[in-house]
Amino acid sequence: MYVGHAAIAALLKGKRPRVPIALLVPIAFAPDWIDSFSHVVHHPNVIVSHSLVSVAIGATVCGLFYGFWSRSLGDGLVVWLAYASHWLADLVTGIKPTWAGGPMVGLGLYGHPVWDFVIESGVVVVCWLIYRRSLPVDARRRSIGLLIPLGLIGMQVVFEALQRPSVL
Amino acid sequence: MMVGPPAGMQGFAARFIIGVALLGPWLLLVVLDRALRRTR
Repeated sequence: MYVGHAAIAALLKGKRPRVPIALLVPIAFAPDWIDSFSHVVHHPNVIVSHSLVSVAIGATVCGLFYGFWSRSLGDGLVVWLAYASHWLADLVTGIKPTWAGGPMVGLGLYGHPVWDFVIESGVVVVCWLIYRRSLPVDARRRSIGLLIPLGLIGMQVVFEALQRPSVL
Repeated sequence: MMVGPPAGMQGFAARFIIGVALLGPWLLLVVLDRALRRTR
């Protein structure tokens, strides 16, 4: 999943507005950041970045750290959810490792770009609707708010086209 | 899809695209969330 992770971060921001979205988005993408860094240092390892065990450890470390820092168990739980949601979301669209030597699981929709797009767009719209409810009443009517789902879906299309030019 | 470079692309171009892919949604949400929550 790609922009769905950002949409889930927005949903969590809507449920817990005091947790900065500037933190929730990178936390929701944390396994991808780790994967990217591992490529930069020429030691890519999907078990370290995307396995169920590594995501559970990363989510717990980040959640505990933020929970202690903010002195709020609820805030820490939201950060934990942002991180942990990455594995569950990827489970829908991809195939992800569980642990070293363990089974790979997932629906593997990367091979079905239309379904991948439909599901990602659906996640974006649903999460945006929930996020929107946390906004002041007058802000909900502002058309600039539509840039969130439209912008995210646009990024999905561009990134899909870059990765698989044959799709478009 | 997993955030990664286009097939066959390596080096700076691949890192640039991954960087944009990871920072783009962050920038969009930070800017728009701030704009929407600011009281007018």
